[in-house]
Amino acid sequence: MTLRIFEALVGAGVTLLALGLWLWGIPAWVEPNDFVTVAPDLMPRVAVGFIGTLGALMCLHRLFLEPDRTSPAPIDPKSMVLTVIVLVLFAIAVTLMLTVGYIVGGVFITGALTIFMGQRKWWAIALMAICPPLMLWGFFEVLLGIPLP
Amino acid sequence: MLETVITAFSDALTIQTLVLIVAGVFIGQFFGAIPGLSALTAIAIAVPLTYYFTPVGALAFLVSINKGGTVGGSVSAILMNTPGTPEAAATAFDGHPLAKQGKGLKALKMALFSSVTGDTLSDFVLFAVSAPLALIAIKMGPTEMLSVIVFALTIIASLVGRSMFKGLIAAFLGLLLATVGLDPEGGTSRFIFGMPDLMDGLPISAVGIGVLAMAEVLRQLVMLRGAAGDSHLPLSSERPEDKRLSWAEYRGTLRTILRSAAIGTGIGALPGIGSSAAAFIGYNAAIRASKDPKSFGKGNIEGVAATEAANSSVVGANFIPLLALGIPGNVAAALILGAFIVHGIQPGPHLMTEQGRLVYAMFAAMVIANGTNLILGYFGLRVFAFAARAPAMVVFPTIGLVCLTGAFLTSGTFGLPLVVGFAVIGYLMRALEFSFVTFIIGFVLGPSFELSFRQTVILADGEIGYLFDRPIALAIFGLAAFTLARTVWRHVAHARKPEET
Repeated sequence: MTLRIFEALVGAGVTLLALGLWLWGIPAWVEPNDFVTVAPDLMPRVAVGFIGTLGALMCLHRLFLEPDRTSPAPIDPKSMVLTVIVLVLFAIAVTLMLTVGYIVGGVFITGALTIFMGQRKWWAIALMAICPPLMLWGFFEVLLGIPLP
Repeated sequence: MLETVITAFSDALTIQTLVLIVAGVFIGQFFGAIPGLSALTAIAIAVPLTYYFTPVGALAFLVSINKGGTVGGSVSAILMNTPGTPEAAATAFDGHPLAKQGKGLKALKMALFSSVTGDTLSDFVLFAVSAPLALIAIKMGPTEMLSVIVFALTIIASLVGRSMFKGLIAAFLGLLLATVGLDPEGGTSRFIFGMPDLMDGLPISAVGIGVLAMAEVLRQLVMLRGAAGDSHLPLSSERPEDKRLSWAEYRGTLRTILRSAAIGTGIGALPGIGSSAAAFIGYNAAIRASKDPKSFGKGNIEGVAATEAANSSVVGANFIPLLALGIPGNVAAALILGAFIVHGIQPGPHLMTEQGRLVYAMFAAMVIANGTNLILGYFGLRVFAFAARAPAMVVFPTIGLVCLTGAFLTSGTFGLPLVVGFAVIGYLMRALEFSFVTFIIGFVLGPSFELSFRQTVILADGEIGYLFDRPIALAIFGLAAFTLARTVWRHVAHARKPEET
């Protein structure tokens, strides 16, 4: 796929999302109020309206006016998979911090990311997993007295 | 006047503020030196910490990080040809060839001295201009303020990034997310999804950490996975003249430094055009003015001076629109505006009259930070050169954890999932090349935009003719329309002339 087509699709996607928000999201999530001069949904509608219109214009621009017709789209499946893995690791760390505690979540995320980055020596992984969370915990919880989860 | 200066320095010269300035400059230089990180990342993470400081200490800390970051960015640009910060990219053009010639230390010293000189000059312009500008701005009504915000948004959208559409979409996404919370007039809920934590809106610190810091960490983790640690060139050869920067060499580049400082200050005072643009424009101006333009790019020390003076002078000038109008000049200023708000201070035309003492104390802190930047930069060059080589597998997991910690500190348990969510948004924006600069500025300006819009509607009472009674606002709206039309025209013209592009 070329960059031009990819960006046209992105523009169309943005317009569709904005349309969905305009028709369904704003009525569902913005509480109406008849006793104000400016309705509460005006600013969200202005923003969503512009986003949708600009998305459509971007789509048309890329389809008909974009001079670059050969550059490839920046789609790299491997990077996307790796990004999802890192995001899942962060989501697990957040869950651990909220349910078990900061240090457990911290040890998990720094250790897991060190392995993810390619470190295979157990002592280096252990050092990276333990030191940063303990140092941050010590700095905030012990030194500054700011409680962490 | 003298009394104001003495009071400002006595407010800034407290132990806490001095420690924070030194820590801020050090953190800024350290983050700036590491490729992939920048002062912006450090500021985003540091905003939550400032909640526990005094307002003067908090602002001094953030400004110091910003100043230190511009100096730190030159270290990896010169020694590794990998700019630590985007604005240091032009520094590498001449800095790295100098390092190859064994003159890395000389180039680093020139970067430091020109950076601090440019920054100091820009700070003095800020001190001189912000109060008179605020006096003019104070006479502006909501309609004029609305027109200024619209104008600022059009300038930002037209100048940031390669695509105007993407810049504007990102700005309006920022404006949309700024409406989360309670409606300012009637108090009804908007996009809070039954979560009381969202009633006050999305916290700027969580949005900043997610979009700016954590998204960048995410990107770097994926990009640098499995990469071996980079090594850099030696700091200098054994020859003494390669290690030192003489007064004559500095004086020889003074004209270039002053020119670049003027360019950087002018650019910094306009919203949205950041340090990177200033650095490249300053560099090009130095080439045009040089008697030997062909030496640029091959190790001309004037090239280093030109870029560093230009990108550093943006730092102070960025505060001119922030302090006078409440409009942040760039993302760093937007985050610092967030810190103002955390401390219950609203930047804008009334700031100088209502919080004059705080503003002048911040000015004093900026002067002290410049001195600290010089001293710490001079004696810490080797430390920051070492930091530039820090392995990615140590730096980025740690910064990822610091991001989560920072999110918790300001927004509690609610901040943790929020920051991960905004990291996804920030990552997608980077991957699809949507400008996070316009997004953050749109988000920060959103509440002021809505407030002035509502006030204008109420004052106009639905009559469009009201605008004709506000000639200044009308003129600024006209300028905004002209900027937008010009940008659209430029895009269409660009599309019609593919062979020239």
